[in-house]
Formats: sequence, structure tokens, C-alpha cells
Amino acid sequence: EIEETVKKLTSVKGVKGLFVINMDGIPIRYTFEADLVTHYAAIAHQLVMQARSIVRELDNTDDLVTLRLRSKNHELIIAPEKEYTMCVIHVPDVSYD
Amino acid sequence: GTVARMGSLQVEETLKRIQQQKGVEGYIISDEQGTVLRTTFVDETEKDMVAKLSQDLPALATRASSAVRDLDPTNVMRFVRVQTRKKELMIAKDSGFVMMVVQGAVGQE
Repeated sequence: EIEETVKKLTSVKGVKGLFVINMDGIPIRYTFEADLVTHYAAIAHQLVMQARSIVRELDNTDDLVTLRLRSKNHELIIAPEKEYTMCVIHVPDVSYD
Repeated sequence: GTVARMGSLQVEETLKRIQQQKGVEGYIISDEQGTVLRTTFVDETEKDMVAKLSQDLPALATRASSAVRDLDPTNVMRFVRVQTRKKELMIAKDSGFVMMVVQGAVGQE
């Protein structure tokens, strides 16, 4: 199931990299250099936990669907699923200056 | 000072435009520590939400921007979007201010 999603996403135009982390924040699947993934994974894991707790504290009938970090060079899209979190580094055609 | 900057006509017009965007429920402007400077959520029933958001979202945005700079010192954080089942929270930090916009849930892009 993860493999299908990974395959689908890596073929999307502008997807610069993709990684999947498990519930402990360990990268279990990734499409770029391992040491860089480790760095991204730690960040994604921390932020998704922080964001999710904010959402649940605000309304415990609500839940986090996606966390998107839009920066000048790219957008990091973090999508938590039940047992893993899918993360995509997306570079759109337009630069966000 | 801060109030004079905040009160400029350009800022007022931008804030009005944001508020008028389809789906926007309101916004909160705070400093980086989360002290609320201005908000459209003035109802008693919204006090708790404003307190929580202004306390938690600036910290999330700060962490996100540190992380982005850590990964690549040439990169700069623009904004953070928290999409939940019911809402979308947009956070932008700039010049010591934190802008938080609350929208109803948007469809998948």
C-alpha cells in the first residue's frame, strides 16, 4: 500500500523527494540520500507530533490531515496516516519569493 | 512604534481582504511570544480558542522556520498550513509578528 502511494507520488511533476516515516520517526522508505533523509525525518516527526497535539487540544473531535511547510525553495508536505507519515518535498513551477 | 505600523492603511486593507476571503473565519495577530495584538475573534465563546492558538501556533511556526534554515541556510520559511478535518490554520511569521488565519476546511488540492 505504501509502495503504490510512493510510486504514484514520485511520478508527480515537481516532487523532488519523498520519504515515509514510521510512528517513531524512523524513515522506512525514501527516494534520496539517507543522511539527508535522517535530518528531514527528525524534523517531520517533531513537527507532526506538535501540530497534531495542537489540533487535538483545540478540538478533540478533530484531527490533523496535513501539515505543509511552504518555504522559498520548496514545500514540505507531511501527511500522517495511521501507522506511518508520508512526506513529500515539492518544488512548484513558480518560485515563492 | 508597533501600533503605528499596524495601523497603516495598507495593513488595514490587507487585513480586510483576508477577512473577506471565502472560508476565512477570522485571524489572530500576535507577537512571537504569542501575546495577542489583534484578532477578529472577540466573542466570549472564542476566548479559549484564541488563547490556545496564540499560545501554540507561534511556537510551531518558530520550530518550522528553524528547521527549514537548519536544512538549508539559504532557504526561508514563508508560511505553515495546518489542515485538519474541520479547519485550515495558516501561520505566517514576519518582522516580529505572527499572523494566524483560521479557515473552514478546504477541499483536497
